[in-house]
Amino acid sequence: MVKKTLLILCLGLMLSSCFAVHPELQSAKSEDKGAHGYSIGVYGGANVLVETYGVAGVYNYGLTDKVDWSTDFSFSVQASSLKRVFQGFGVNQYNLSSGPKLSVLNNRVALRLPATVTYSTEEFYLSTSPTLLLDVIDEKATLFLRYNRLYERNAIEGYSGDLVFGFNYFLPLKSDQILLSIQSNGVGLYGGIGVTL
Amino acid sequence: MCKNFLVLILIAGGLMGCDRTENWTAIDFLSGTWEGQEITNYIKIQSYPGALTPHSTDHLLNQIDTVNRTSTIDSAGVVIDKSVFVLLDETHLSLSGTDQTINWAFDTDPLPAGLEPIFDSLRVLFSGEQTFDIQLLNKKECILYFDTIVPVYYAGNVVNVELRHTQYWQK
Repeated sequence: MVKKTLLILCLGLMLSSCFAVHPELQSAKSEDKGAHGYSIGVYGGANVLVETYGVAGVYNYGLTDKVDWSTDFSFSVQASSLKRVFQGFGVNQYNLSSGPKLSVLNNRVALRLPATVTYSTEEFYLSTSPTLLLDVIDEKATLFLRYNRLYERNAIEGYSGDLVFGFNYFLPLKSDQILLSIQSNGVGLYGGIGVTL
Repeated sequence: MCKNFLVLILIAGGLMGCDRTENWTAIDFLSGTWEGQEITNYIKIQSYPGALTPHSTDHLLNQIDTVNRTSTIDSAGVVIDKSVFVLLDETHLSLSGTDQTINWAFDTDPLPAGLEPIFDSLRVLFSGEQTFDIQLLNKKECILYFDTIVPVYYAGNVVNVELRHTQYWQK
């Protein structure tokens, strides 16, 4: 039993190493009721196995002053290098998450509860991705923690999903519309740059 | 006279520059020494996202002898593997691996030691006969690919692991 658990943990760690590592291109602040907010960005990074390059975007719609409907997407390619990406050797991954975002404590803390669908290597994966956003340093930076839990159960039931934690810093340029993001899932480090529109 | 000579030179140059591979078949393209570029192994378990494990093979040379139907892998002047192959048709190739094949075809270094049962199963797979799809084959490039399900036995349990293996060679 211990040996099986060990195998499952190793498999889980390895398989989770490349999954859903895109940045959260937003702060904890919610949109005003009826308002829209958009962000797009590019990101990249690596773990011990592979490099990842991608684009990501977020769309928020204010349902109330404290609740948004938040949707994000990302497209990424995993390969040994950017050169191999352009040669077509990469593995593509598409993520789409959508769900409510509740902002509390004077818009400084937010919880997103989206459902996520991921498509990669001719397979769809369904998951839920609860995400905690915390604005710090006078709202110039946002810490985030996202847990991606796959719905499906199978042989490696011990694998319960992967955790991504990161940090957004809003550059004091263009009305704080440009943000830098750094995030990690514990086995890789990723960074990106985005713009809020 | 000078003009004729110039014309002859141009014609000769033109003929030398012609692509003489027009009527080549896969066996003609395969023949020769190929330089390793990269091998990618994509491992996944059903319903879970997989892991891509690419590794550079630029230290390898693959001498394809189409007369004796052998593939000899050389690393820095040392022969590390030799296998026989059968060209099944223009897009499929069957290679009979050896116990050494996995050592250059799969990079286990970055993976946790706990995955040893997978490697044991892969060792058996690579040392057997394997049919590759010839995804790309021309005068300069060769891409070979196969995918298969590998049952991994561990502590009385079986986990089906899918392997997608791609080899990229250049001349």
